[in-house]
Amino acid sequence: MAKETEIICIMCPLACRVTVTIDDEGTITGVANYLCKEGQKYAMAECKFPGRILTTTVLTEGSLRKLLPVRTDRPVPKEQLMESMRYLSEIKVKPPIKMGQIIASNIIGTGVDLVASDDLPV
Amino acid sequence: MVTQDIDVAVIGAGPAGLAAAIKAKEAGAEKVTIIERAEQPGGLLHQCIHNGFGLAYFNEDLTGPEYARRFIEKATDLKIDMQLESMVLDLTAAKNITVSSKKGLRTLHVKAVVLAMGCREKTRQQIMIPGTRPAGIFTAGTAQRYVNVEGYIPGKKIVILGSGDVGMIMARRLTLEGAKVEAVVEILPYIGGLIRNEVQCVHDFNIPLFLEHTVTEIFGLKRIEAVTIAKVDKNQEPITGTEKTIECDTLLTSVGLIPENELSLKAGIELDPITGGPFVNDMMETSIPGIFAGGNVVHVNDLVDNVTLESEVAGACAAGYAMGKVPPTKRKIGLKAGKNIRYIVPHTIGTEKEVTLSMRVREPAEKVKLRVGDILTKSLRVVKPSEMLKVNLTLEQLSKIEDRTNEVEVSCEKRG
Repeated sequence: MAKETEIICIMCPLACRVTVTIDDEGTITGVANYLCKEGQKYAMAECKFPGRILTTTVLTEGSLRKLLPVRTDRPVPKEQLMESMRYLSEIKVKPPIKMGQIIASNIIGTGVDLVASDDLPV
Repeated sequence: MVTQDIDVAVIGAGPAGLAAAIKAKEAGAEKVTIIERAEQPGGLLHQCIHNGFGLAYFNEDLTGPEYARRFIEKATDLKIDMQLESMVLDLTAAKNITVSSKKGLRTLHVKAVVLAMGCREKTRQQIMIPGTRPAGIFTAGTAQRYVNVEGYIPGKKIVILGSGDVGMIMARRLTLEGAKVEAVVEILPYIGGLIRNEVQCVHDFNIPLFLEHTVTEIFGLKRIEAVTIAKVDKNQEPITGTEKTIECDTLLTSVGLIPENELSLKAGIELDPITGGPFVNDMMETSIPGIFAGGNVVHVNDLVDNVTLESEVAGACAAGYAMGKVPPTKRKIGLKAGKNIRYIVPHTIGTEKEVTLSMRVREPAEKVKLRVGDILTKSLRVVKPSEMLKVNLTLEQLSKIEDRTNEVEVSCEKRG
């Protein structure tokens, strides 16, 4: 049985509700209800890999600032966001840290790295 | 009392102030000073740890702190004087600035000023929700600071009133941090923020979204315990019989932003009652010559990229003014908000300088034609009050404005 999924396109304020049809093998067999190519592309990508850049903070030690803002370098699968957060709650970092520095590699086996999104001076 | 020889003084070191100062320096102003009350430059970007910044300006997806860092580094490289932990208490039309800091009280006399004070959130008091006055009611931005900078979670069961971008972003942020967001409640039939935030902050986490609803009562003595929400009619009046009580320990409000213009008023700058910011011309100059303004102090933007671009104009023109290089304006043409246009910034234009018009519509509409007098038309599939519209007017287009015209109407009407 083919399955239909509705994806709200975020490429423009029109917010098309795009219908994507997926067959039993997980192959996309149809895309409908979009008004431009961007919408078609977005809906297909979102069906294949619904990933999000995770932005959060980690605790610091030995700094006047309590938290360091961090981000993933690539999207994390949507359903693994909460598990990633639980894992990252254990992390503590010490200064000095430069923006872009890797804070944790391959978080919960996603292959995604966590990087500092700001400097943490001493 | 100390007087310094400053060419351009910028009030505020948020994204607007940083961009204005950098451009002023690049345009040739020798002594550029930023006066900032916080202990670090960057403004609100420090607490906006989410991504989505810089897509238009850098063609990159940056977080708030990353976006700020680029400008802070540039300002440092350009040796822009940054006076931190310094609060401007007074500004006069003669461009005297009274600053309070640890060093004491000083008055600076400067050649040109750029206002870059940004905006502030509306509070519960400004929307007048009936009920008790317990603890646990915050603006979304205050909660954002607690969670992202101070390291505190404001509560565990949250209701968010208003679907502005900060409200939706906090719905996601608090969910990720383990709180339960019980509802996002929006009085309008559509969300107040960007579509990407509705999808990625609200839908992604299955947070209940109540459109055409509002909070009608707040319960709790010491701490908030519950709110009542109700559906509203076309006049935004609650409909009897639709009430629903939701238990919560926290209510966040995300109900709009107001440009911060107390200093502008002290200086006697004329404000537009619709935007809440100064009237500005195509140089982003206010009603007082030599005082310029850029970013959310002029009108509330939805993207920081636009704040940067607009403040760059203010900075460059302030530098020109300080150096005495501003060509006398030959014409001043008013822009009139016509059909379905709420406001246009700048308020007046000339014909000798290319200009970007930023505007908002009153009502959402589809298949429309945006018209700027007889000089430009643009077809748009959809317009929404929450998404700012921008058009550039080239010198060629501006030259088409007839000699006797002193007002050009901008309208947004249905096609066909």
